[in-house]
Amino acid sequence: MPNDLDSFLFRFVLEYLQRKGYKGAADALKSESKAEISEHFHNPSLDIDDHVRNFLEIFLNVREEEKSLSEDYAKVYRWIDGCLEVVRVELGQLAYPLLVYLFLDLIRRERYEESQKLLDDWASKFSEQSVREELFSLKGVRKREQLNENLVAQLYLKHRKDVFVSQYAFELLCDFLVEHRLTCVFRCLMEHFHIRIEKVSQVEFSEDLKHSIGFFPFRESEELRKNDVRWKPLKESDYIVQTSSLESSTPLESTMTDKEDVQPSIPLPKYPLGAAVLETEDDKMRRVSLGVESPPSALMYTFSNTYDEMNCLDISFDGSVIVAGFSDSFIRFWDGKECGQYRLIGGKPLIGHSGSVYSVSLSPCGRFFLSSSEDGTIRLWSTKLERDLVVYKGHLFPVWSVEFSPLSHYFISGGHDRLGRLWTTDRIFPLRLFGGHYSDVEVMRWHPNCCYVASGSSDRSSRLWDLRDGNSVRLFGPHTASVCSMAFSNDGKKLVVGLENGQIEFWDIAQGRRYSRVEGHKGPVWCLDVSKDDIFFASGSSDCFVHLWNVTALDHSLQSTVSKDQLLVKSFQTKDSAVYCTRFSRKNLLLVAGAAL
Amino acid sequence: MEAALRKETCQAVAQYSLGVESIPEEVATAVIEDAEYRLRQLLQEAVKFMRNSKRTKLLPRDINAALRLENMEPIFGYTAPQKKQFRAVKSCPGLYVLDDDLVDLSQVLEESLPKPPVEPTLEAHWLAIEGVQPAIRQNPVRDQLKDAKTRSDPVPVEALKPLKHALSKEFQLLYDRVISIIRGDDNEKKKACLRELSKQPGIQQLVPYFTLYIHKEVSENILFTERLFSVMQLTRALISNSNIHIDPYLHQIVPPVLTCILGKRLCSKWTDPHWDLRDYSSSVLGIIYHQFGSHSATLQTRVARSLTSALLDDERPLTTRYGAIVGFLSLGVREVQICLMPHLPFLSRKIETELESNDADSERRLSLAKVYGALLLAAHVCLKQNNQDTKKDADSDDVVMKEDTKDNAEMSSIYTFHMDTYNNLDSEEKNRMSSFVPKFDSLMAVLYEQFGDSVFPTLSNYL
Repeated sequence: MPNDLDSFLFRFVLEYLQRKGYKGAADALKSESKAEISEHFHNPSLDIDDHVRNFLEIFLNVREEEKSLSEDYAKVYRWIDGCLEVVRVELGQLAYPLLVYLFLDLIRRERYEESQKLLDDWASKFSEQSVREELFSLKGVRKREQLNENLVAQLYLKHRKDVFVSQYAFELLCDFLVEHRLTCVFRCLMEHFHIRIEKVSQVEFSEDLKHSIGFFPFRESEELRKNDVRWKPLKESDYIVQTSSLESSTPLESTMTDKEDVQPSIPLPKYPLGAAVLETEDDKMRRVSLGVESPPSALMYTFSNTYDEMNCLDISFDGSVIVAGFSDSFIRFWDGKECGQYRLIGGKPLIGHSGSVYSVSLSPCGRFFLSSSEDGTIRLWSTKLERDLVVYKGHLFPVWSVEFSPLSHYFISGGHDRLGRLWTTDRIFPLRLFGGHYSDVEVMRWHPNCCYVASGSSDRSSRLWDLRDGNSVRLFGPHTASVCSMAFSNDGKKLVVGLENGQIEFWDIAQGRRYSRVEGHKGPVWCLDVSKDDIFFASGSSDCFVHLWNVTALDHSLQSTVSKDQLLVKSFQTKDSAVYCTRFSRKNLLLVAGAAL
Repeated sequence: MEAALRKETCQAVAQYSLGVESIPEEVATAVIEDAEYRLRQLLQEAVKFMRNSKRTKLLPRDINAALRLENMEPIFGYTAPQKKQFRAVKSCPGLYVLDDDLVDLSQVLEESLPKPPVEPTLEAHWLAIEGVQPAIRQNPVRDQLKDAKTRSDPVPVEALKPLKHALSKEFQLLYDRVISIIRGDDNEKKKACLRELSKQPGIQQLVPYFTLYIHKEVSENILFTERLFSVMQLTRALISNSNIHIDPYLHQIVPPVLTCILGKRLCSKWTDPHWDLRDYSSSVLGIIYHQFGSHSATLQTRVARSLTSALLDDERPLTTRYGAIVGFLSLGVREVQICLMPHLPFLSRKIETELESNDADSERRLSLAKVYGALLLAAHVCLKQNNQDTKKDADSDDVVMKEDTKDNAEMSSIYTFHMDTYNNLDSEEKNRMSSFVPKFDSLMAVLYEQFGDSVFPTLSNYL
């Protein structure tokens, strides 16, 4: 668009010169310019409509005597604020990005004092959680050189802001800008915005937009939504070794199945029936059937004397092993079967990392676990041998999250280097890199069918990645805060995201649509898990509560948004211990772990 | 978010900690702007470390982790949990510094190493059983479960509101009047007032307020014997009022009474009549013990336990020990025999040796004499009881029936003893001092009269 602007200007000047009869000057200008522009020039006055002509005239007149931008912005802000309700919602989405872009423009033109004044005057109007961090970061920018280093500034400068407005609203805005000769604002709109004119007013979008006025690549999200996601669970034959007697019949059946079925995109390990990784018949037989009337039992593991040092926790599916990572680089693990009888002191300390341990993940069989640390390494440990087996070096910066795949063998990690990685346990280098987030990857989770992984980031978005090619196939967001935890439902249809501000979002993977967003907790949601029959999600938080959410309400409801009351079934309060881990056992017993404050 | 560093800060830092005399304004501005930018960057990184450590509080180690991430040297010395306070620098507004403590290295090296932190412990318990949180120690108390939500049977919110105890104007006036009389000096009015309080059925509504008053008055005026005395009189009046229901408030009344018996120091001068206060309070305790002991399961054991611990703790002063002894005396003969007698030899020997040594000052001597006197009284009570027991053995009929009445008789005699001291107090204030020591002598005389020479060998059985 800046090129467009230049060419507009060029054409206008040329026309002006010709009209006034300065032949020589016009020729000189023409010869200076590129050939392509002069080609267009043959019909000069036709493609410049009245609007633009008006604008350009103002532009030429006022350019030199630019007034304080802060005042200009004040005019726009107040005008938007005083608009009709219908229009206000639409134009309201312009207010914040306009402020950011005006600020960045001022910095770029080295008008530093004005830029600070602008931000000082107006930043307080936008105090929502979602933009607080952006504003905090932007406020530090004082010099043009810092623009290149500042992440937020780069995000805004490299991407155009997508805005959907109705024809009527846009005309109103243009009239207003022309009338008050707010050229700077107009130029900013032309340069940095991608205004899409919609026939129908987009008011139903508004609720969403109001909550997330910060940066979000809407266009990419929309394009990714066109991808197909085969979310169905795997067939048993994909990961269970077939006994010879069955083998004759099953291949025929599997060839008959339709295309919708999921083919594993990576070679999966196969297990014989009854392996520790798999659910046993006993698990299925004795699974407690849950419902709103029959909520689950919850077993709580309370840690004391952790002195804020404990960073992460994982419990095996049967509750037999509990692993915790500490900020003094220790990992301790406890035998869960012993702790019913008496207090366990100390646990077995494991030494290996040279920095805080930020994530631990037990393998489904409970014999191995992974840990990720500040020192940029991931280690594989054996609970039987009580020592580390492999060091995986790949990340350069702290690794925030690591998770074993549901079928063991593979694992994923994500960290401060904004990348996610796919590994197998028998290779010390990553198999896939998942790049695309604008900030740290805070959480990585496996899709239950092992074809996809999800990553949640502090850029307030989550992505779904295809393991086959390592490309992003979905972009969920914008969230209202950084992602702290995620969980897939077992049928692979839903993704639940827990945020730092205590909100919980429920997303439909296939459609890329959000079912609902609820004010779940009063503190960051540290953990999420789903019951085996996909009825409850359990969320735990630093506010000492475990909430149970009824997910089936999402399927039944026809409304676009489901309220908190419809979803929240039960809350359990712990005795002043922040909840670090919630996990449903294979028999639907809820295992909760937390550290006493 | 609004905080911004000032260029004066840069100049001050340059001057004081780097030794650069003066730096131009533009340089200072440029440097400080960049410093602020770096600081914001650092804070953003530090917050990520905080989040991934599952904390909601930013700690020095998060800042250090962020510094390491940016390839900078961490700042040491601030990770210890002690609180440090920033101090404003007067000459440079907007600049705050942390004072560095001076540490004597040799002293640090000589000191024994600090204790290692306690190992983390793990405990498993039920958070919920089929959706219901069991009332166990590890779960929060039911009252705290306000936010707990049950869908099947919604609890009406109104029911959870705290009940407001409204007091009518008349009652407020009455309460104020009673308190002012009890605090005042007019003995006649006070007596009348107390008499009324011990009979009136209409003061039930005021009971919680009186309880609170007793509690507060005792804790606030621990050194004013007179005030404490008035409070104990009020307490006695309340508990002897059979027309009101005071049981639910006993757990609040007993601790102040115990304080008035066992307090380390209940006087501003040692000549204050705090011994009498202890005697009187123990009589109050005796009434509570016998009147309400049967209603409340734990009251008797609780009282006996606190008295025993006061008696046997060597750290406690003599005043507390005296209180414990008279306390036991007020509880009854059986308690004296069970709890006090086994320790009598030990206690009396200690006091005798100290009394003989003769080098204590008069305060100490008085205390010793009082304790010794109380011990003798206890011995006397027991001996008398033994005497009766032997008689009873001779009679050997309907023992059970008589035992209670005998006990009561015994009790009342002790009370009269205490009541006497109380009456003495009422009548004369000045020469209380003189009345104490003779009492000890007269007691000896009484004992001697009753037992003759045999008192000493008999006593020595116990001593």
